[in-house]
Order: sequence, then C-alpha cells, then structure tokens
Amino acid sequence: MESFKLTRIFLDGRIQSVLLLLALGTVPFWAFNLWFVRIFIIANVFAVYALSWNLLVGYTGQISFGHAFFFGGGAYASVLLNKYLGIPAPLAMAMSGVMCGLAGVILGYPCLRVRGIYLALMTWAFPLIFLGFVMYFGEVFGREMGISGYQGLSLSYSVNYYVSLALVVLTVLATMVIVNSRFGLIIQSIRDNEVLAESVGINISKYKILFFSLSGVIAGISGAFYAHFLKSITPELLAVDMSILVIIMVIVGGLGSIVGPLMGAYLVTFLNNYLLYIPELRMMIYAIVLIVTLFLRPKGLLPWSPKMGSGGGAE
Amino acid sequence: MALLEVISLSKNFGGLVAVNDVSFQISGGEIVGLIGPNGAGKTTIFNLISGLVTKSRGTVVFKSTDITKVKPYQLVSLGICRTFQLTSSFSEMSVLDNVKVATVCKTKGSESAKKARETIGLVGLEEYEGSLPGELPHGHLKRLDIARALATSPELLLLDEPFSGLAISEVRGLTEVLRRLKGMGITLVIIEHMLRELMPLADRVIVLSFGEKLKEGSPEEIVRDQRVIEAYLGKKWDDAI
Amino acid sequence: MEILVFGLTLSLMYGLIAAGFALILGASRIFDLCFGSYYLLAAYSYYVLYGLVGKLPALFLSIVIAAGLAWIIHRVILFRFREVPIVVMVVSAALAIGISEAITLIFGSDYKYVPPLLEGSIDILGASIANQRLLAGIVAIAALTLLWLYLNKTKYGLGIRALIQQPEVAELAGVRPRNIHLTVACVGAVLGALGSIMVVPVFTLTPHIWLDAILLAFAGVVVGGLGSVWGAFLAMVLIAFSETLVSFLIPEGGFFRQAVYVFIMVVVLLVRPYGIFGKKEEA
Repeated sequence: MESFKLTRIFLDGRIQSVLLLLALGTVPFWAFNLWFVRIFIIANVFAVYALSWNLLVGYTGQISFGHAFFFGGGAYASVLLNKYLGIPAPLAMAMSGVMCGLAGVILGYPCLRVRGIYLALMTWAFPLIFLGFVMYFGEVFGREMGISGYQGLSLSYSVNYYVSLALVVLTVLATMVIVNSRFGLIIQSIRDNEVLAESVGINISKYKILFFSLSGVIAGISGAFYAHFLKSITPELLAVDMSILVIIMVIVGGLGSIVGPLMGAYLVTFLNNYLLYIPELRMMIYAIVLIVTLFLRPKGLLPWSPKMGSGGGAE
Repeated sequence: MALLEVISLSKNFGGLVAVNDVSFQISGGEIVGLIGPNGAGKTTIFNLISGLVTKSRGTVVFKSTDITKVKPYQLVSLGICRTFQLTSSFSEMSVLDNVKVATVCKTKGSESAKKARETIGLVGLEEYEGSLPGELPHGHLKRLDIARALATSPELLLLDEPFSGLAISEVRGLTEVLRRLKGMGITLVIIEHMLRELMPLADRVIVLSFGEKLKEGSPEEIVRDQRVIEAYLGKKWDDAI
Repeated sequence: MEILVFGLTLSLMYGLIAAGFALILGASRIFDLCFGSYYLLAAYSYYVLYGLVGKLPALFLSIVIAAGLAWIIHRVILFRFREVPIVVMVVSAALAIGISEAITLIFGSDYKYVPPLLEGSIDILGASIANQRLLAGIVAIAALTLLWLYLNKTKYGLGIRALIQQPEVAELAGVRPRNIHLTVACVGAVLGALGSIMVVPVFTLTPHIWLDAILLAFAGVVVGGLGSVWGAFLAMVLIAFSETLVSFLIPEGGFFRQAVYVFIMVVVLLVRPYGIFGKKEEA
C-alpha cells in the first residue's frame, strides 16, 4: 500500500504541481546552457501539439493519422504570411491558427462520412495532399529546402521560452475548461453512444467538426511558433514522421489525460536530443519505446491515470 | 388541432413493404397506444417520424410544421423525444450525467443540474444518481431511458415498449410515472405488447398489422374487435373459440 | 502499343503487391504498414545475395527472409494489438520507418543497382520492352493464379476466406485466428516480396521504396475496397494504367505520380468512401 499513498499525494497534486510550475517557470535561470533551454522550448511546442491531438482522439474518440497537416500547415502558413505579406510574427501565428481552424472545418466534412480505418486513411491523406501542393508550388514553398530568412519571434531565448510555456499553460487551461464544461459532456456523450446522443438532440456533425477544427487550431499555432523559433522550416514538418511522432507521444504518455501528453512530449523531446549521437535510428528507438510501453503499461507511462473532469481514455 | 399528424406514411425496404399508407392524428394531452403483432411496423413508424429512416412516401406534421425532412437531432428542439426498444445508455457516464446531457438542448447551463435532478426524482432514481448504467438492473435502466427523454423538455414522447422486461412491482411504478407525465401536459405515444398494462393507461389505441392501420379506437372497442384478435392470434384460434 | 504493354505489365506487378497488402488487411484486419518493410527487406536481401548464391536462389531466400520478418512482427507485436487499429497503425508505421533507418544505416541512402533476372529486351508488335518487365508480368500472373488456387481450393484457403468475410463466425466455426493471421501475414509478405524483386531492377533501389510500396498498396485498397483482395488487384490495374498514361503523356512524370495516386484516393474517398468493391464495414 506504500505506492498507493504516494499515488494519493500525486493525485492531490498541490505540492507537486507547485514545485513543477516553479521548476518550469524558472528554466532560463537554472538551465546549464542555452541548448538546454532550447530543448525545453521544443518540448513545450510538442506538448501543445500533443495536447491538440489528445483533445481530438482522447476526448472525441476520432482518429487522426495526419495531424502533421495542421502542424506543418500552420508552420508554412505563418511563415508565408510573414515572409511574403510582411505580417509580424505574433499576428501571423494567430492568423495561421485561424486558417488551420478553417481548414479543419472544411476537411472535417468528408471525415464525417467514414469511420475507423477509413477515417485514419483519410486523415493520413491530408498532409500528403498539402505536401503535394508544397512541391508543386515549389518557388513559393521552397521545395525540399524549405523556407528560411523570415522573422523570428524574438532574439532572446528566454522570451521564446516563456512564450512557449505560456502556450502550454493556455492549452492546458483550455483543455480543462472544455472538458469540464457542457461541451465536454456533449462530446463525451458522442464518444460514448452516438445514436443516443442524437436522439437527445445533439447535433453530432457540428460538434465533431468543431472539435476537429479546434484541435487543428491548437496544432497549427504550435507549428507556427515552432517555425518562428527555428527560423527555418522544411517539408519534414508535414511528413508521416510528424504525424506518427505525436501519436507516439500521446500514447506513451497516456491518452485521455492532460498530464499524459505533456509527459510524452517531454520524454520524446529529451530522447530526441540525447539520441543525437545515433540520429539514424531515432524512429526505431521510438518504435521500441512505444512497443515496450504498450506491453508493460498500455495506459501510458504515468504512475497514475488521473481523469480530468469527464475526460476518459478512448482505449 | 392535432399535435402530431401522420399522413399516408409509407416505407419500403426494397421489395418489402414495412409501412403502407398509415395515417393518424395525436391530440395534445392524450396517451395513445400503438399496438400490433411483431413485425407490424410499429417501431418503423417511430423511426420514420423521428427521421432515423427515410420515408418512401408521406408527410409528418407537428404543431402545423412539416417535419418530414427534419434531421433526427432537430426533433428535440421541436419538442419530440423518443426512447428505444432496447435500453441504451451512456455507459461511461453517471446516471446524473446521462440525464444532464439530455438537458443541453433546451435548458440553460445553470439550470441543467437542477433539471436533471428533478427528472431523476420524477422517475424515482434519486439513490442512483452517481451510479454507472452498468450497475443498474434492467427496470432501472428503463426508467433512466424515460428520465433522459423527459429531460429534453418534450411536448410529445414516443415510448417504445417501456414496460418490456419489467417486474410486476416495477410496472405499477412506471404506470404512475406515465400518468404523472400526462398530468404535466406531455403527450405520450406508446408502443407496447403488454396490453394489460397499456389498456388502462391509454385514452386511445391504434392497431397496426402488416404495416397497415387495422383499427383505431378506445381500448374497450379494440379489445373486443374481431379483426384485432385475429391479427394477434390468427384465424385458427378464433375458430377454436 | 507501348503504352498497352508497359501499362499491362506494370499494373500486373503493382496488382500483385497491392493484393499482398489487401490480403493481410482483409483477413487479419491489420493495417500493417510494415508491409513496406517486407518489400524493402526482400529487395535488399536480393541485392546482397544475388552475387553470392546466384539469382534464383537469392530470389527464394529473399522471399523467405521477408516472410520471416512478417512472421516475427505479427507474432510478437501486431497480433496482440489487432483489436486496436490505431495502435497497429502507429506501431507498424514507427517500425517501418525504423527499419528503413536501419537499412539506411547499413547500406547508405544512395541508389543501388540491381540487375534484372532476365537481361535484354524483346520486341512485341513493334514495342520494345525489357525482358524483365515481361517476366514480371508473367510471374505476377502465375503468382496470382497460385493465390487464387490456394484461396479457393485448399482448406486453409477456405479458412482465410471465411475470416475475410465474417471473422466472428469463422472463429466460432473452429478457424484458429492466430494461425491464419500468421499465415496470411506471411503469404501477403511473400506476394509483396516477389513483387519487390521483380520490380526493383526496373526502377531503383533505395531505402525509401517502402513508401512507394505502401502508397501503392493504399491506393489499391482504398480504391478497390477494404475487404477485397481481387478488388485491390483490379483497382491497381486501373491505377497503374492511368499512371502509365500520365507518364507517357506528361513529360514531367516523377513526383506527379504521387500526386495522381493521392488524387485518385481522395476522389474515391469522397465519392465512395468504402471503395469500389468494398462493403460497408463496421469498424
């Protein structure tokens, strides 16, 4: 029962959360060097990305196998707005978020018509299509080389860090609010029993598209921030790897909770960086981590699985 | 003025005629029974009215509005709600949440919980507020179905076999609840096989057989009607009598 | 005329590969993205072995190796999670990328040359066509005939077909799911491997061809329909023909190929989400 007690402390979380927040909030001060801060920034970006995927799949129960569309799409959109239209970075980020939302609404409609594997296939096709555009309009998008030479958000790592942290906090808060609200109840009912939800008056299509779109907005903004932070982007942001990576993050961390995707994102990002010495086998290692997790702790690596509000895992 | 008017409703599934030119009217405040042997098309009529199945022919009018083309989820905002033959629940949500979800269409956010609790009280499930549907016995699940339908603030309730599978003790409870609903001004159309429970409750009864309306009338008339008896029991039985 | 012959042989090849994937998907309901890895491994095995043991034995061995990989992956990992499609997809995708990485590590990512099984070319009614392509087409026909015989004339094949059509009932009737799953995985891998070795001398060998194979297989399955092996094959014939037409008429070729595939898939997904021959599946 010893571990149970520890679990209770974690669950009650106050002390833990405060310590964590304190630690995260002061990273630029205690980090060993700039590179370390950089890792945290990237981890935060992926945390937001992972949360967006989690929102869609963990709470709505719909599959997205091509979330890279929003991540990469948001990145490209923001960069293009900035480079060719001269729109300042923060505004470009926001606008690309909106654009991703719109795209989510449009793409959401065909998604309504299919289920299961076909839905996965369809979502898998989205980034492929966008990639096609990117290659076709090579001059604008820079083909394989990608784009660089546009404006970053700020020269200071610290500022970048706090912005990334703010994004994470905002996303977490937003997720909590949504999940605990009427919205969350509705979406849970849809996930639970669609026909019944319909019979009590819920417009299923509307809510599914809404969540899909919302998830896209969040992913898009994270991608946009990433783009402005890196100061250079390539089509890799749209690749299958990007779609799969976020799925791995969320599954390993724990689908359906809020802390899960965060942990998964941090884990993968740090692994990524310390695997720098074996770059060619990155995905293989992720695959192994994923498989091991699925065998040993299928609900995710968390020592506990907290349920926030009415959220619950899809699996 | 009729609350609900069904005009020449028909449905074919390929070559099979499930419902053939059925028409009837439901007036506000009454309890109408819809009976008939298995396969007569009763549930199909509910499905047609609620839009789960597309109509081959015919019109449905609710409160002078043509709802023939309406989508299933829109019915609730209009004031109609239906239950299903097999109990159905949100298995991962508590009883309270199950009912709360049903309130989202017509009740304001702040009132939801209150309305949900009231409705749960009406069907007598107060003690089970926090339980999961999986923990409830069949009879309670039937009550939950009704609570959910009630929570949508309906004017018209379409109940599909609410008495099926209930123990005798539960039957009386349900009859009470349904009478109370009538007292609240809610109109009920009830599909039932358990005629002993339905007849004392219903103001009027419509009989379906092989997709067609056989007869319509008061419970007493229906029970004594020759054709109805034949439809349920078959000609041979009648000969035997 | 050239178009006809080219298109025919190409589509037969692609059809073979798509059929392999469709078999695994249809019978085991497993979306095995590692299919591309079997394809890849077979090609590289052949590349390594043909100089050592001769072409025909190398062909044989490579197919066995690919089937072995399929067996391992399914036995250890994929079969266990077969109830959860998303996990299967992610795991197999991650593994596939990982395997591609491993191959890159060992062999480097440059284009490798693999000599065809049959050198030279032949003239058919005025069109000059490489012998290898012809061989590929013939092999495809032979393999698919064998497959048909296997599925329709043997007891095991019956089990597989039963599993494709009604998995629950098949299990109740005594069909042992795990054995069939593994067999299907291997057979599918064999088809893919065979296709790989036939095709690779005509195109090039890089660690990324697994993506091409997957895209191909995808297209076949999406257009042809989820439950149908022959549907995938026919769909592939259609697509490959269009591709050949496109590449002959439009000199750009190259990347356009991918776009054509994606375009066709999108159109089909929109118009008939369950594929031309597919049945409505409860996922």
